[in-house]
Amino acid sequence: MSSRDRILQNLQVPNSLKKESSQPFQDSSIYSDYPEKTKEELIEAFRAHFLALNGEFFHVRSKEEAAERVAELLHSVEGNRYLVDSNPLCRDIFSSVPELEKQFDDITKTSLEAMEFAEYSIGLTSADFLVARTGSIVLRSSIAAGRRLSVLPPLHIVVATVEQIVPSLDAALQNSEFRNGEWSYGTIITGPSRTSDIEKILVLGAHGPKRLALILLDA
Amino acid sequence: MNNYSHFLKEAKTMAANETHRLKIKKAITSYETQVAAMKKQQFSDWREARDVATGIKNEVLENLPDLLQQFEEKLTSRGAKVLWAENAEQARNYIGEIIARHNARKVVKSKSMTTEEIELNEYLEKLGIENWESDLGELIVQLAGEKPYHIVTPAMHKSKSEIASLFVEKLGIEYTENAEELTMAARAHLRKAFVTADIGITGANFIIADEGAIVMTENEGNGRLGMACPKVHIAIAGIEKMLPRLADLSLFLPLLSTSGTGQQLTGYNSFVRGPQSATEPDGPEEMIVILLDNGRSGIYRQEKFQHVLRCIRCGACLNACPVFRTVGGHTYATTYQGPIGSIITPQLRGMGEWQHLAHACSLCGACTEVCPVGIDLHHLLLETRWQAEQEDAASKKWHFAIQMWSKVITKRKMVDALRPLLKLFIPVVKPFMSANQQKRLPEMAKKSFAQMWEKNEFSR
Repeated sequence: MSSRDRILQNLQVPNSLKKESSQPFQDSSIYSDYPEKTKEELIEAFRAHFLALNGEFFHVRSKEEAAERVAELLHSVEGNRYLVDSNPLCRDIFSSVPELEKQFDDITKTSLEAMEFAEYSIGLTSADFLVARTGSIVLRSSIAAGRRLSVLPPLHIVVATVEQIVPSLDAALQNSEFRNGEWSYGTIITGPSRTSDIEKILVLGAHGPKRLALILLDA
Repeated sequence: MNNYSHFLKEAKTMAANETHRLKIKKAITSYETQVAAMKKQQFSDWREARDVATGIKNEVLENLPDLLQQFEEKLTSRGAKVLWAENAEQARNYIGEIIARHNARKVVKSKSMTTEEIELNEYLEKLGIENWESDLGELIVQLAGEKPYHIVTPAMHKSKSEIASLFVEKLGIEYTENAEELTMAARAHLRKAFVTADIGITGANFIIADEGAIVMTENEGNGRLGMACPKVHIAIAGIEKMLPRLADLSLFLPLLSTSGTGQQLTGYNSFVRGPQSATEPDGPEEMIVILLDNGRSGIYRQEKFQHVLRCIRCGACLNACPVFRTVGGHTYATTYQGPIGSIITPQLRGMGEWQHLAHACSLCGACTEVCPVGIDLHHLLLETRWQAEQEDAASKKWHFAIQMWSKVITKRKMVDALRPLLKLFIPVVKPFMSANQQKRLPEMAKKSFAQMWEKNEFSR
């Protein structure tokens, strides 16, 4: 008998617990900010949480304005190697300022070893969802062009639209479109990388990005 | 020295260690303030959230074999491998085989109590593998040659100055007590490890049946790097880490973050459902999940103890426990400390060797009060004492003594008859007892309550 079968057999026990089918957890009034809010309130809730987590928040009206914010962020870091995923929204923003696009390396056209990857100072990605309740950004490897782009560079810039804001985590996690597809990795990002392992003192940028910036575009 | 005498000796030393007490008090006070605020801010009713979570975890226990198979089927369909380990040795051997097959030299680890449980670091050291703990707290205890002090906060017992001296010695930095500079030193040091490691080893906070995914909760990003850079990712998870559905995370992630660190959500909650797919530019070529039993099925088969497997390892019961705060995490000499550790260690590693932990408890119930999945911890500690009594032949003498005692103490006449004897006896043993126990016996009253009552000496 294999270990697998032995473990499973050891778990087959006559106990008093009955098998009950239950429903997946659904958002409910156990959360203080339930029920859902208007779109404006969701944007405001997201903004407040995101700022409280030391995120850098930019609400922009147009793609040109988004490109301006990206350009400003480029000047705020040391180093001059920037990497971007190939999302259409990112493309649109870049195409409004062609010089901007030239500064970024396209991950789909660049073969990168881990070592070389570490030299990039900015990673720019899109996102799947923004969660209003927690100020979180949800993204999958298929959207963020892999796993490393959003975690190795010291500054992670996310470009998203207001349509992507959902009230709570379960709206994202129950979305079937989100769950389908060929992706192997997803992450819920809530603020820049942080640690409090030394005497409970908060330090940003433990291993992941020190800075997290969100450019939120009105659609 | 056996485990029991170790515990007694350490407990005595630590209880009198004022520096230790101040460090722990500072850390736990800060934790408690944040947790209380976050519970209030986030949940309209914390107890109801706990009840819902308890219900979902009960459902897991009811269906555990089915859910494990569902998890395996889903995950393997995306090209990952699932290995089942009955015990720690088998789990270590699986990892040894993977290392050999890939001819790996360097491993980067993220924080995982399950790897502590199987003593993976010691094993990798024996194999001559370069092995880096990448969580800051874990790195600190690894460099200090210690075990984690606390399941969530491994370096809770270290002050800034101690960490500074350690980093000067081991990482060759300039002395600084600035927490940010110390963190940046660790970051710079480990960056190289991440991009050159052959294998990334992580734990899992949850495993999801309907999605076939493992979930990793962290703040630093070291876990994400360990799952993104090396070409092989090994995740090791206890079989009880199961949740039925991905959507259940929308309760369990906030619950774990709130109870664990007082955050609404930890910085990164990542879910992995396989190795790099054909359409992705990066990720590990190989992903292996090791499902660890190591005594858990033994707990599962005991109806009274089964529900302890609901535990999500948030550490809240450790922080709440007056014994933990006084004797400190290392005194337990176990992977899992505090109330939860005192229940599962005797079950996982042997009642005879570890039953003393269940006695290091005042049954105050603070642990049960804070548990986010409603584990009746203090009653299970009591139950552990009972089970130890049942199994322990040496306790027969004790049973006999107790039986005799109850025969005497339940009969008024016997008590009255023995009282003069007791009065003679106490002054004789008193000097010895005071010297050994650091406690003074009270003075005997001249008259007993019964005597005073008879003579009506109480004012009305």
